Amino acid sequence: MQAQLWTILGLPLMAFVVIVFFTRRSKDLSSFVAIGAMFGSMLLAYATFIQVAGGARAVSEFEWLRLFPAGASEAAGESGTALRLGIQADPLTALMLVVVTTVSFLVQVYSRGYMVEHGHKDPGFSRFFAYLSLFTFSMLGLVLANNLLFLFISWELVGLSSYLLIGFWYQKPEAWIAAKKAFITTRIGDIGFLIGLLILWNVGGSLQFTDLFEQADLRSGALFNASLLGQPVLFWACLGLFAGAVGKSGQFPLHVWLPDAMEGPTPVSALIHAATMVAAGVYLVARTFPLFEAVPQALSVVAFIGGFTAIFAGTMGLVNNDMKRVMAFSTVSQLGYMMLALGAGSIAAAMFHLFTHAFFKALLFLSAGSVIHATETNDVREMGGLRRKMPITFATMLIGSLSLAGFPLLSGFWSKDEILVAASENANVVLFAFAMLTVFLTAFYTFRMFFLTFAGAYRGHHHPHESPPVMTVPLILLAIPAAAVGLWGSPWMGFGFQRFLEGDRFREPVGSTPVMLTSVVLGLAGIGLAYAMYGMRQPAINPRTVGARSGGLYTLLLNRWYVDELYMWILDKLAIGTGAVLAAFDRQVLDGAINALAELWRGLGSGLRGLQSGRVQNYGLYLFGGVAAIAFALLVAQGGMAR
Amino acid sequence: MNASQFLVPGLQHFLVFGSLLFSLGIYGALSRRNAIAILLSIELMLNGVNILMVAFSRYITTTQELAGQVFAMFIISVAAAEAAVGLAIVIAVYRQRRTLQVDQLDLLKG
Amino acid sequence: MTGLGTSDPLTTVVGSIVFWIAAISGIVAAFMMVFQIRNMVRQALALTVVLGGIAGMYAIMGADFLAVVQLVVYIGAIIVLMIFAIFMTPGQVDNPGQSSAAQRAGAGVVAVLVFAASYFAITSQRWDVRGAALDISTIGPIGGLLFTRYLLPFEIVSALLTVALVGAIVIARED
Repeated sequence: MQAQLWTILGLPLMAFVVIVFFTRRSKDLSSFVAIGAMFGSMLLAYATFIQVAGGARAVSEFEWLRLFPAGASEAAGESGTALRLGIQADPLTALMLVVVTTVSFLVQVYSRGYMVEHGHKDPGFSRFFAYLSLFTFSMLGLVLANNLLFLFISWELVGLSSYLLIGFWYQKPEAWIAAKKAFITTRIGDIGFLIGLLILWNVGGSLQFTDLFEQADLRSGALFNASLLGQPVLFWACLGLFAGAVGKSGQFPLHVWLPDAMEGPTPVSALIHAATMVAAGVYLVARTFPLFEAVPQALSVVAFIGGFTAIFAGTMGLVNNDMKRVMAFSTVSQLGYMMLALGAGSIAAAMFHLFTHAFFKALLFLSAGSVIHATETNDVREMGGLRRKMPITFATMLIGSLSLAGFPLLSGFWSKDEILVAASENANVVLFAFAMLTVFLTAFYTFRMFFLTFAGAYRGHHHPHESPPVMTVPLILLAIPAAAVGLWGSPWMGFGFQRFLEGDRFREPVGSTPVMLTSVVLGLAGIGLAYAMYGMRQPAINPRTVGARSGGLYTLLLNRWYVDELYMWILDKLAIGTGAVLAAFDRQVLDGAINALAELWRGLGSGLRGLQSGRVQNYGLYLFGGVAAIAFALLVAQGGMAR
Repeated sequence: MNASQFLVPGLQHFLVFGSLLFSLGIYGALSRRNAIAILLSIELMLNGVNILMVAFSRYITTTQELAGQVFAMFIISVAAAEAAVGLAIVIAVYRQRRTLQVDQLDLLKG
Repeated sequence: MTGLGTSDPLTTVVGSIVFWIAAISGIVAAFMMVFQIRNMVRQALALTVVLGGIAGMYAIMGADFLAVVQLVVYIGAIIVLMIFAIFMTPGQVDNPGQSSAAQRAGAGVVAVLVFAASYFAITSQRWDVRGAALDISTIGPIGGLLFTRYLLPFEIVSALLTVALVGAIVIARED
């Protein structure tokens, strides 16, 4: 089983290397290499999943480095501290393996159709598949890692792939600006991650999950020593880790990069910025949950950030006209849900939602990609009436939207319900209210987008038509899990998902009928409102009137609460202020000193220049003047000594 | 020092004579414009030094050594070489510039 | 041959007379050469007078070989060379050739300072003078020194002379 795990990890890496070094020139071959490797990985991941479900566990690690304290050496017989890299398989990992490989595989197949425009393959076709392979490798490394160091390395590689893929069309300024923004914003979180890592290494003495969890379970020891602000060391370490998760998962206040990341190709948005990478933050918290569990204060932080992000992102999604951005806000909002669930202490709910979300959000994105491919625009105002022209896409999009909106019996319904129940039990009542309100918002903006796209008459200038089978088949294949995968965690199947994930610790969740009914009602109300405003031929409620009557709220939402502007303003002030100080220092002090020196020598030079008359007799004069001076000096010295 | 002592030349007479020649040579070398005149003045300086050499050899050294005279020999040899090369340069310069006025030869002015 | 400073009054008197003649004529000639004479040829001749006087001084100091060398090399070769050079640079013979006033003033100051320093050094020093002159012929000892103790300088000077000879020819040759 260990070899199997390494193979899962190695296949995409191999595909990346092969494409980069050998098959780059052949676009078809490159894509087949990538898809083939992905397919192999996927099958092995399923096999692993089945084995793990059967109770198998595996760990495979090797020693990477041995660190010695300063002055010590191996020869002196010191053992030092080993840095070990390794992979493991447990239910959490197996679950993520399935999600990542499945979505990855389908997205890669889909990309073969999407990355073709008017019959021409994109010039970077091979590069695209190489990046996708690199991403999948990194993501698999992230979920397979059995220690924080390997996880962090993969984490950074994932960030790199994300950067490369967002800026894939680097000819477009928006693309590379967005790539830069994504990279730098997540980097802020990653610094927190790194700090957390260093704290754990320094205080806990290890980065292996098992070692750390053992220490955390003791509820005492070095990790629980009081430190800054009287909080235990572990609290700050967890906060650091969570900062990384906030950056990666686009949580407030580092959410600003995710909507802009939609400049990348849509399959990338589906794979990285909806299903897998952005979920890595949730995965990280879930993976290190024993640490968070040991410091409840950290969990409250997680819950608060998550709950706030959920509603905050939801409001921004209400008014946006860019199809992909609406979904990006939706992603941020749903990730907020997952964080809220984690903060409420339920890994199972969070991972369940992550699991279902990965499928239905990938489906939504791929369907959106299909629409965008057909209409050649992201703007929902230039769509409309596509129901008849793109029936398959319409159907898959409907399934995805209903699932996202929490329509009963679809995947999203089960997982969202689980989160709401967890929040109602363990979270602050305000956060629970946020979560409930977000249900309504989610349903509304999802169907606003849906109706704008598919209902009414076509408002664009192209001739949209259904996408080719290479795109629609993955859509159909994804639609099945997007609709049905939630059943696995439903009471009807005995909470199979939770049982699988939690193993011995499984306790049957207590359902709450009021919560469920409220959320269903709210969701249906959202859908109904969207229909009333955008779905009907003669809107019962005119969106413009609503916008006009909302006061400044509409503008505020349209400009995303001005958070980007605020950041840019702060950065500008900071950068320009610092820059001005440094520039002044450079000009006045550094340049001044150098110029003064230069001026000194120049003055000396121009003064002494007169001495170099070019006339040999002048030189002779200086020479003998010097001789006379030296002679007198010697005489004086001699006289002085004689006396 | 009375008159008869002054009239009989001793070491200091030679030294003063040599120094005087040397100083006159300096003045000549620094004030004349003609390159050959400068060379002549330099010869004057060299001879002033030579007088000193020989005088010290005569009056100061206690042994049979004639180091001062040997040095004077060397100086004469170097003077000969200097005169040869110097005059060659003078003639070459004259061919080029049709002048020997050293204050017109200031191409190396800074 | 004996030099000054011996107990022999005749040689002392003769030597003193020779010294004063040589010294006075030499200094006068040098003064004229430096300050007065404009004509290059006459300058060279004035230098010849100085050099001749110096040869006499060498003689009364017992440096007989050097006196002869002075006559042969300086007067016989270098002065002749100078005069040739003067002849070969027509138009420059009568060139008055005084530098600017400032240059001359500077030169005068420097020359006076150098002389003052020398004079002060000479007169303020108590010289430990050896009375007796070396009553020997100097040719043999000088030759011996040249080939023993001062062999290396001697060889270097030979090389210098050779190089100077070749160099002078190369430099002065008409291309």
